[in-house]
Amino acid sequence: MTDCAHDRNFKTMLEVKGVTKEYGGRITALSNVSFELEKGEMAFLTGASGAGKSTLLRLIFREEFPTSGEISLGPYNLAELPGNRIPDLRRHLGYVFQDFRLISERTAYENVALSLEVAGKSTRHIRKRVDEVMQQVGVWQRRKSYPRQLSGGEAQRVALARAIANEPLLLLADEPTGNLDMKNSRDLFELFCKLNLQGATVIVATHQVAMASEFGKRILHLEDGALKQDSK
Amino acid sequence: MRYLLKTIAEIRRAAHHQPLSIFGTIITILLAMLLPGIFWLAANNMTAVEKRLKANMTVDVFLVDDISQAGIEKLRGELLTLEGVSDITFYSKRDALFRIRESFGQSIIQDLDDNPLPASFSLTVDDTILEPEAADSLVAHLSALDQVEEVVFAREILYRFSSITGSIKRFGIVITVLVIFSGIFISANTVRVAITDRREVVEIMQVVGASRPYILTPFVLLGGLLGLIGAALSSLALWLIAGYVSRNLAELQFLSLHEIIVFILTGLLLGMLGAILATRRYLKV
Ligand SMILES: Nc1ncnc2c1ncn2[C@@H]1O[C@H](COP(=O)(O)OP(=O)(O)O)[C@@H](O)[C@H]1O
Ligand SMILES: [Mg+2]
Repeated sequence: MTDCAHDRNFKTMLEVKGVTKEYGGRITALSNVSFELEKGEMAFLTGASGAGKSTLLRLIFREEFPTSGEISLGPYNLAELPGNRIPDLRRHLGYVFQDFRLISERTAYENVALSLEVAGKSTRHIRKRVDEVMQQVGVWQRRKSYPRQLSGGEAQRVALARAIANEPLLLLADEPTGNLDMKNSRDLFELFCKLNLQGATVIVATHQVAMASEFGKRILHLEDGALKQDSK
Repeated sequence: MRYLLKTIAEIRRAAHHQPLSIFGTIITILLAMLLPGIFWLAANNMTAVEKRLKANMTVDVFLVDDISQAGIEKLRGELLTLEGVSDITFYSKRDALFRIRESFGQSIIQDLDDNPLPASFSLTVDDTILEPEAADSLVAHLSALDQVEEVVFAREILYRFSSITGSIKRFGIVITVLVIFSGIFISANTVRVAITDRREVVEIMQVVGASRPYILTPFVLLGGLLGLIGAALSSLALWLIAGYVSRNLAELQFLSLHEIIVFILTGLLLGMLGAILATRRYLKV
């Protein structure tokens, strides 16, 4: 496979085909899940706790393999992706966690810069790009603060800035509002929608089904590992 | 450049977070490497002494008392044709007396009217003759010659010396292997602790797509640095010990610059190897 990650002339960004994931042969976390996500599209992945949302995101992130079925992301067919290309894949994915996962001894600015450093970008490019994305998510004023000095909402925005800094093919978020209050949660979802309007392809996993449906985006609803509803 | 800064930061952090473990590792490597260092030093000096001993090794061929001048010349001719004999010196009966007096003082044998000491040829021989079999056959050959009374080749001391040197070298190699293994193990352990300490950061690095080398290089360099410092301090300690022995016991020659570099590089390598081992076991990306 050639590295055509920068060739963004594909319409389907994510293709999940008949994916089943079993743990130890007894627990079926996902069963026969199929859907496609187009470039520039945004979907909420909803479902109760234990429905399989995190599992699906982990499969897309290539932390684990599906028991059966196939996943492809832009130019990458995950089943064929050799282990040493995983870092390359992840530089083309943005990931936001419930618990932020910021490095505590680095400032907000340095945390965002990390994903660009890792991708081997020049110092000049990094400086420019970090300023840009921090402004985009509204935490530029907090760039010199350390994670412990940030509110939950701010910390998650910093994590989001880090996730989008490399202009990922797909932005994944796993319960990004899990540690936030209602107001902050709604603001954050709105921010995801705004990024989507600006062109990002996004999947946000959340158990807050009601709130997710307020935004008029596509809803992929999981129940016990099966895709029960696709609003598309 | 950024790599280097990252590494320095990582090492400073490790030194800050686990000073005892870092300090202990360096001291342990220092002490552990002292042992093979001492063996190396000993083997080197023994070999040097052995070489000098070999260079001074002679075969003394004592002649019958009534040998004629013509007989002496004829024998000299024969000896010169022998394989492995590089030089010949003749000592007359008078010379023999002088030599004995030089060694043991004037008084000895002074009162004797008649000189009882025999004339002799002293043969300087090549290394090939110093091999036991070659030596035996040379002695046998010389003893069988006419006009030769006795042949003395005091090679036992050389053999004993060589065998001691050989034992020291073999034992040194075993010790060296053991020390290298334990050094690798120690470094691996320390680096593992350092990585565990940085578990959170390492995971975040993986999430943002850092490659294995990008994440692990600082840790491998940390291990290498521990080995390097340990070995450097160890060679310094070795130098102090050699100096002390030279002043108080016997003149020792220290390792050559070249050997010191090998010694320190060994430390560097075993430190890095341990670190690589630790990272391999730790990170599955
Ligand atoms: N590593 C694992 N080993 C065993 N079972 C797992 C593992 N990960 C998830 N599961 C199970 O898979 C199901 C789906 O979990 P998860 O994807 O975390 O759900 P969600 O994120 O929607 O809450 C759950 O029953 C969970 O216990
Ligand atoms: Mg989950």
